[in-house]
Parts: sequence; structure tokens; C-alpha cells
Amino acid sequence: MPYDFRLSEEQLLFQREATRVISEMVSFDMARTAEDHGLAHVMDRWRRLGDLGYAGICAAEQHCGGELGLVELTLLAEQAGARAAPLPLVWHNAAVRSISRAADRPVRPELAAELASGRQIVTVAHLEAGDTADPRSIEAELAEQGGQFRLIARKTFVPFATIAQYFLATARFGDGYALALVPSESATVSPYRSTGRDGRAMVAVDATLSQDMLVASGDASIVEDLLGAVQVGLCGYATGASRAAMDMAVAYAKDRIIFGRALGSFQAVAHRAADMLYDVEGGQLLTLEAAWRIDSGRPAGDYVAGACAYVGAGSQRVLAHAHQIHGAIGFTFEHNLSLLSTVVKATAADLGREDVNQEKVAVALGI
Amino acid sequence: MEFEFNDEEAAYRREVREFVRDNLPAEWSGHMGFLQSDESFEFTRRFCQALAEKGWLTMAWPKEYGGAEAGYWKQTIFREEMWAQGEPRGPQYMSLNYIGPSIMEYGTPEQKAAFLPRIAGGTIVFCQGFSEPDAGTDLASLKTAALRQGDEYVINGEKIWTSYAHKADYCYLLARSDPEAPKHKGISLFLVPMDTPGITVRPIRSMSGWGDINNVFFDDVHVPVGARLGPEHGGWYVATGSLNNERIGVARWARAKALIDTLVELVDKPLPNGRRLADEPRVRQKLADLEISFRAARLMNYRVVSQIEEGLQPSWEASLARLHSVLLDQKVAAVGLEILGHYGLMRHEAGQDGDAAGISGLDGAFEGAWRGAIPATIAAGTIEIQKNLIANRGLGLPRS
Ligand SMILES: Cc1cc2nc3c(=O)[nH]c(=O)nc-3n(C[C@H](O)[C@H](O)[C@H](O)COP(=O)(O)OP(=O)(O)OC[C@H]3O[C@@H](n4cnc5c(N)ncnc54)[C@H](O)[C@@H]3O)c2cc1C
Repeated sequence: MPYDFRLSEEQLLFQREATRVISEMVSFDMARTAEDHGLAHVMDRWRRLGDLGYAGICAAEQHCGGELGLVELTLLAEQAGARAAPLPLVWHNAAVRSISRAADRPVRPELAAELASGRQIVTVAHLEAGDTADPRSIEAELAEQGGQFRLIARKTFVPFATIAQYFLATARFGDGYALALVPSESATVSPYRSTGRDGRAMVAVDATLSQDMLVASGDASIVEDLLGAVQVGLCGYATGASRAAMDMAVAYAKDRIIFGRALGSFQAVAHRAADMLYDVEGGQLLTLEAAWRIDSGRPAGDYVAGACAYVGAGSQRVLAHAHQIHGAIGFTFEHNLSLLSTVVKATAADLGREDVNQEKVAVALGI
Repeated sequence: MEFEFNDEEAAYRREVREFVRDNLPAEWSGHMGFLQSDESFEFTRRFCQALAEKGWLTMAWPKEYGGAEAGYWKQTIFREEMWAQGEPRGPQYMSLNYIGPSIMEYGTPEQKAAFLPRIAGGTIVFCQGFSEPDAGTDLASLKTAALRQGDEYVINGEKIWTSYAHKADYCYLLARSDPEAPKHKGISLFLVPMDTPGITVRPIRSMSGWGDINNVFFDDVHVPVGARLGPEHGGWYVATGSLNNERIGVARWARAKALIDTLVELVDKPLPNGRRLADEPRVRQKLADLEISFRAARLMNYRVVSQIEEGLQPSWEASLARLHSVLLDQKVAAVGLEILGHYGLMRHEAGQDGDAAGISGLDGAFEGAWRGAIPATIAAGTIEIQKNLIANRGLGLPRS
């Protein structure tokens, strides 16, 4: 079949198991706890997920990884998104994938294994003051100094920075780029108070790193590969969150009786439900296609950008519909919809401005 | 035709704007206000009293009730300036926009004497007790009972989403006084002191924090017959008149415009990397689109104002105006957050450490605007209901 939308046996198995594990271990109350008391209070769940292999799904087997692809990462992220999980699943797995793949410059195997098992948390430090994903805007500088490396960087809005032990930082290196692993002790972490429950902080680094902390160097594609993994993972996360919001709204529309009939029997409500399905399904397929293209080594940049543009805008539309169908109740902190709403809004900022992503597709069209 | 305010009106606007600016406390967060803290609530009381002293609070009211009989346009300018600055009148906009006017229309001489001077003086705060868990859009199916016993009513039931109930002096309460009658015909309206024994307020935490909405329980609450406003069992008609006034009295477009102006200023400044967002065509188009939507919303609302000024009763035009206003609110917040990216998500909290670009001067304006705009299409009549009304009254389509 030229297009086959079925997951393989192994992928189905992975999806089923991930759904079961996430639904057993992650509750919406984790997001509430993270909101009120901080991320550190929910990290016991992270450690348990790590023990089960969910912190290194894309890492190589010799690093205790699962040797799976980004398709699997998006499937896992969907489940996490569906519960507004305040966990570094996407960022950590994407970082570990890059670290584990750096075959030419291996990180110490023990460290790689520590990361792949989730005992140490690594996140991605990429954005800078300009707040754009474009590698050309990187100003952080890595330079060789007598067999070691000096990194000077000011990274903004680093997710899960408040709980990470390592940052995988993007930097300029000679004429090209590098990914460098920075222990959190070598950085100054200044948290933001922002919406999203994802431990954002500014990370400032002026440190000397040992040779094995240089994970990769080369042209912009090393940065793009890392960001591509993050972005398809986040598309999966936002899609999972918006699907969960849709499911809640549909269930509510069936249950709530108004003017003597089910709310969903009003066409205005039914059409909102149909519009939600339109966006959720579209976003999911574009995400899977982009993930599959990266996994299979095909050029994927404009597919990732296309998924980001679609999911970024579409998931926000879905949440707006879900809020409207719920009326006032969905606006309460007690209602899980409000938790999904926040993560979708915050993830949209990571997926980037719609028009910037659209521009990448336009370039791919040759215009 | 005329599409501009005259010099006198423009001067009045400047005067109000300066007064507001000079009197807002430092903690007041720009366009969104800051009703969450006790201090800022107390500030709104003091501010209303100051407005009353200036003769502005109820300037459109008749002279006999402490007003100045100012025209509706002047009142509109005033409302715009209030909303553009985060509504420093706090909850009192409700008493001014519709509770006071309905007491003028339906109140007994005793009720007028008891309430109107306090509203005009800015010293009394009401909450609106209409919605119930099973009666939102379908408000007429409300169940809270107010049963007559001699010269008293005994109230039992539960209200929800009651804004400011935890701070209010009185509740403008809709309850069922005749359980046997058809649902619109068995409802009465009451003015109930919130400190009456039997009333319990449970604050509900929402996406905008604590204190904006509440659950209010009535447990054998006794009020005298004199607490009823308007005819017995005729409360539905008093209340729907109030809701019409509620819908057109809020100058949301003015705050949207203030946010648009903030964005314009921001994209014009170079970012730390030297880039200027205003140089990007797509950013320019988005801002232009916001400005056009704002202009359309303002015209829609001004048309309603001109109808009222001419003594006409706006119908679908008021719903259309409201639809434009609330959708504009949501669009401005969404575009603002998209353009500002992660900076937009920073919350109201001055001087955050990690604010490399120095954008925290925004004070969480867009993050707050986003959260604040979610209920815009829900509270005070959902947009579906507005659209039904427009289709029905404006276009003559049959009722669903
Ligand atoms: C922040 C906030 C403050 C509020 N403050 C107050 C207050 O001070 N006092 C007060 O009394 N109430 C207040 N409310 C309540 C508000 O008036 C109700 O939320 C509103 O009337 C909708 O009722 P509901 O939430 O029960 O939603 P529902 O009535 O259950 O409606 C759910 C959804 O179904 C749609 N729907 C319903 N009927 C139809 C139909 N026939 N055709 C098509 N679609 C339909 C609605 O439009 C909505 O999208 C407040 C609400 C909020 C969010």
C-alpha cells in the first residue's frame, strides 16, 4: 500500500502499553500539584516512568534505550498531553535521542545510560532573547580551549530547567554549530513566572566543559534534527491534549440537559464538535507523517513546520470550542479542561508563530 | 453623517483619562485591573466614591436620583476610559449599568430611598445571583425557591458563578416564588443583604485565580416582603430588562484597543537581537487585522448607542455589537500571545529575573487578557444565544 496508516504490531503494543502506564501513573492532579507546589513535587512519577523505559525510548540499546523512533515518541506524548502531564517526556527523550546518536563523539556510556533511564534529567536549551527556533539566531558560543571547551550562553525559556540536571545547549562552534551538554551546577538558572507548569527558566552559562560534553558538531542540521524531534513530540502532546478536551466536551454535550434536551442535539453545539474532530484528526496525521519522515531519514523540515503550523492553531481552536461547550464550568480550576487549556496555550508558543512555520512550507514549494 | 467626537467630547475624554491615570495605585495592572487582592477591591470602592464626588459616577442618571442627565455619548466615553484601564470601578459597573436603573423603574419609594443614593455615592456593592448549576443559558429553569410565608419570603437553594459574592453587600437575586406556575411566570427578583443568616459563600478557583466567581448557598434565608423588587412572580421580566442593559454597557472594545496600541509599540522596538517585528509583513498584517476588527466592533457598538440616544430600542443590533466585542477580545489576546511567543506567557509579576528582553514591563498583560477573554463568550449570555437572537430577530429565521 502506498499509504498505510496502520501502526505496526510493535507500535500498537507500545501504544497500548504507554496508554495503560500513563493512565495509571499520571493523573490531572499532578498538574494541580505542579501549579501550586512546583514541579519537584511530581518527580516521583517521572522516576517510575524512567524505570519503565519511557525516558530513553529513542536511545540506543547500549545506552539502555528503547531504540524506537519519533513515531513512538509522538504516541507517548499524546498520552501525556491527554492528562496535561507536567513531565519533561518530550524534551528529555528528544535530547537523549541526540546524545545517544552522537556516534562520532560518544558521551560517557554511564552518563548516557543515566540519562536514558531518567535518573538524571536532561532538557533542551535552545531559545535566546530573540525567541525564535531558527538556528541562525543562535548567539551562544562554544570554543575549544586547550583540549576543553568554553561555552558562553544565555538561553531563555528553557523548559523544565528548574528540575533538570543537564542542559543540552545549542551553540555556534567555529563556522558551524554544536550541541553541548551542560551540568546544571555550571549554569545560573533564573525561573520565570509563566503559564504552563513546565519549569521555564533563563539559563546563563559561562563554563568550561570537558571534551566528552561536546555531543555533536556540524552544520545547522544537527540543531534542526534535535528541534525536529522536540517539535513532533510537542505536536503529539498538543494533539493528545486537544483530543482529550474534545472527548470531554462531547461527553458533556451528551450528558447536559438544557431546555429539556441534550446539549449536543443543538446544531450549534454539534457543529463545534465536528470542527474539533476536523482539527484533531488533521493534526494527528500531519504529526505522524512528519515523525515518520524523520524516522525514515527523509527530508522533513517543511513537514515538521507544517505540522507545527496546523497543530499550533488547530489545538487552540479545539480548546476554544471545548470551553464554549462547557460554559462556565470549564473555566474552573477544578475542571480538567482548564488544565488542558493551559498546556495547549503554552505548547503553542513552542510550536512557534503560524506564519513563520507557513513560510518554511512556502520555501519548500519553491516560491 | 458624522464619524468623530467633537472638541468638547474629546476634552472630556482627556479629562477622564488623566483623572484615572492620576488615581490608579501602582499595583493596578494596566489593562486587566487586579481585582484579586483585598486591597485592590477596597481601592475600587474608594475610586467609585471619588468618581461620585466628581459627579461622574451616575452622570447619566436623572437629577432626582443624584445624576446629571448627561447624554449617552458622554457616558460611553466614560465607560471606554474605565474599561481601557482595567475597570477601576470594580463590581460597581453592575449597579451603575443595570441594577440602579431597574430599581428606578420597579422600586418602591422605600427601595429607591434605600439604594439609589448609596449606588450614586459609590458605597454599595451588588452581586448578581442568577445562574445555578442546572440553569445557565436556560435561566428560566432555575430552582432556588423563595416561598412566601406571611410578610416574609424564605429562600432555599444554590447559586453558582456569582461574581464578587464574597465581597458584595447585596445580592440581586432571581428565585422561584411560584413552583406551580409556568417556568417564566413563577420567578421573582429580590434585593438580599449578603449578611442575612443562612447565606454561605464558597469561592470557586478559576483560571483567573480565586475570588472572581463563587458558589452561594441559601439555607432558610428569611427576607421581608419589602426585599422583593418589582411585581410578585414578575421577576423574569425585570431581570431580562437588566440583562439587555448588562450586554450593551461594557466597553470591551476600548480595552482591546489599548492592548492593540501596546502591541504596536512593542513590535516597533528592536529586540535584543536587533530584529524589529514590525518589519515582518505577516506581523504587520495581523496587527492591521486587529485594528480593522476593533474599528468594526466600535462602530457596531456606537450604532447601538446612537439608537438609544434617539430613543429607539436596539434589538439584534445589540447582540451583533456584543458578538463583535467579545470575539475581538479573544482575537487580540490570541494574536498578542502568538506574536509575543514565550514573552507573552509571562505572568503579572514585575521584574522577573529571566526577562532578557525587558518585556516584563508588559506586566502579564496578554497572558491575563487571554485568560480573561475565555469567559467573554460565555458570561452574560453566550455567543450561541446571541447568534440565535440575531438569526431570529435580525434575519427572520424561525426559532430553533
Ligand atoms: C467568569 C464568569 C462570571 C460569571 N458571573 C456571573 C454572575 O455574576 N452572576 C450570574 O448569575 N452568572 C454569572 N455567570 C454565569 C453565566 O451567566 C453562565 O455561565 C452562562 O449563562 C452560561 O451558562 P452555563 O455556564 O451553565 O452553560 P450552559 O447553559 O450549560 O451552556 C453550555 C453551552 O451550550 C450552549 N447552548 C446552550 N443552549 C443552546 C442552544 N439552545 N443552542 C445552541 N447552543 C446552546 C451555550 O451557548 C454554551 O456554549 C458567570 C460566568 C462566568 C464564566
